[in-house]
Amino acid sequence: MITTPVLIVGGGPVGLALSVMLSKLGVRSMLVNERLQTTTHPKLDVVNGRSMEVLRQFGLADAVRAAGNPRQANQHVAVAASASGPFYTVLSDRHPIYRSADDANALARDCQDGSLPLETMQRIAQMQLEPVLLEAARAEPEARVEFGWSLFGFEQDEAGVTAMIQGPEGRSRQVRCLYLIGCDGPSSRVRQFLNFDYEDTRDLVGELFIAHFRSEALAATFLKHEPYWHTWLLRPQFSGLVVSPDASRSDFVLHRPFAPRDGETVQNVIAAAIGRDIPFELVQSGAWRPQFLVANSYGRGRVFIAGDAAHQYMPTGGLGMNTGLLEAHNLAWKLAACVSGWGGPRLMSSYEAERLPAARRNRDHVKENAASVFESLFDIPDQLLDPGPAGGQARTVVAGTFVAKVTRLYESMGIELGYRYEDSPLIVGAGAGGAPCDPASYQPVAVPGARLPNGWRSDGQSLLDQLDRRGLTLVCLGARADQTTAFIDAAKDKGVPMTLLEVPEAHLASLYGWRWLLLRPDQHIAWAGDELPSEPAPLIDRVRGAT
Amino acid sequence: MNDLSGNIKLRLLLRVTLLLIRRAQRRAPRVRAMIAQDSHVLQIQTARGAGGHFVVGSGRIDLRMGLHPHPDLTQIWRDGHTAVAAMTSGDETDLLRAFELGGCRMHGRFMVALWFNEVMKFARPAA
Repeated sequence: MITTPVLIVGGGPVGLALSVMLSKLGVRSMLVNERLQTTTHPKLDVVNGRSMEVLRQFGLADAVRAAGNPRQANQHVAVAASASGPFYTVLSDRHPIYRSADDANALARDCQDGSLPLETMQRIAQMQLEPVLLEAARAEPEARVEFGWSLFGFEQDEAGVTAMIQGPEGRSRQVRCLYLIGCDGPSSRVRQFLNFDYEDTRDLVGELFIAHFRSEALAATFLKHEPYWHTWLLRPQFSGLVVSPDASRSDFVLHRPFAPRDGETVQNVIAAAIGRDIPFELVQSGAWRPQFLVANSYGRGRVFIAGDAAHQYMPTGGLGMNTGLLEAHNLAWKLAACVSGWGGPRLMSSYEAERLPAARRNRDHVKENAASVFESLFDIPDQLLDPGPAGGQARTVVAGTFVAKVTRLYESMGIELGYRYEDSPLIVGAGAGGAPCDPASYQPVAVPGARLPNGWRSDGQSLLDQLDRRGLTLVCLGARADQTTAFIDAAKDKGVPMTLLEVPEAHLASLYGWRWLLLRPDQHIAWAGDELPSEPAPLIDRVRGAT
Repeated sequence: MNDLSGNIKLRLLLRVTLLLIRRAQRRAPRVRAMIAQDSHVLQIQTARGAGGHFVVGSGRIDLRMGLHPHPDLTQIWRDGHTAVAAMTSGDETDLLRAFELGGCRMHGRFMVALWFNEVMKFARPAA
């Protein structure tokens, strides 16, 4: 029998990231993955800003950037008659998300009000992301990664979980673990074994169609040979989306609202999307069903689900894997705390209280986004492609509608950064943060439950970078740090790793609006105040899930 | 004559749809909740103005023939036959096909269409 503190089922981006995070936190894990290799399909095309912050916290951001869209390449979004034009409008600088990673990160470095993430988004295909995470996981001393093995079943008791895994040639092994995490995708066996269903209705949109093709010739039609990130296609009797997950490659993904009609071939449809007679190679294609689903529970006892096992979203907003990465982030420190002994009995169950509402919020957002995309197609003027003034006017109208309706998919910093754990039993003062953050514009407020808005120290370092990923960080913002003895002793009594971070800069005290902040390992505010509590033990117990 | 029969079929379909939704409202908690929580007008009409509109609000769903002055979502079908063919299909994609090919135009909030699709998942008799 194999023994390991944590068994991760599923080696997609969420499972692999979790194995790296656990190892960095000093926790051994074993990951099993049914497939023998990482995906060969482009799948996702963005790691958003918050996810990049998380990857940065665990030393993965640079490797992910190196594998994806070049740092200086565009991340433009356009609407056009075809992938080769004519273009009605190109969004290049109205929001940091459309800028190159270098440009957007320069903006973030200059941002003093906390309104931008520490790391900007990264345009990258899943088939390029997974090998980076797999290599990182395999290099970790505490992470054991086994591809070609799948979960056969499990039973849990008070002390742990016994799982049966099956590998090549029908070999089976038993694994005894303290916790089992299902990151095993939409058809999650872990979710099914737990008998969790979705709280939503399936198949609201029907069957869409996707085709992966390669075309150097299409890439060459763009300035500097850099295809735009997304080109929405819109002309009478034709609509779709061409995605270039990486401007340095010739891979494209065509999304269509339905499969080829009678008399059409996939090649016909791709040619119509390209709009020119240029060569391309069809790699793969198929129908798929977008969903807006969230599981009705995130775990029971010692078994939890994350990523697509817990939710399935239509990719209108790029929130599927990104929501999953934050779930892994939320789980990682809690698992580490429980394995190392300072996590209380309510710590693991707080995962559902914190992440299920966030998943619902993101589901509602991508659903609104999907509706908005369809609405952008409602009024396509017949004269849209006319060469004369009527055509020009029609194209201006279509471009305006596109900006009004479709930019909400991209310009959603409030969704990325503004989620708060308002129902959390771990957060003191949760829900006191006032109105929820607007989906589009992120308001950097340092309220309990929120992610700490990034602030820059006088020496140019990011405050987020200085938080302890293994324990709690008590941030002293201009207050007297010599008052902390009782607080730190209380943490020590409970075995909680605690770091004191003195921040004398007045601009940061002003940004956050408090004299003291208590930060969790996942960069969320557990407590905020102007005076330290005279009895700190109850606060420490609350944050570690002991009360 | 062709228009007339299409319009009659469409009106009949809308009436049957109302009955099916009301039955689902009695049987399915999800549909009850959806009707209780939402408020909107979905109009389904032909290009010549035949059709009707569903009014959802105050925990009820009603159907009124004729046109509403301010529907939240309007589906304007080329003719009654096209509307009936797409609406009786079990494949939601048929709406999108008709939409792209010009058999159906829409105005308003597409969230209402998603609401209707979900309700019909419960209301449509099992095949």
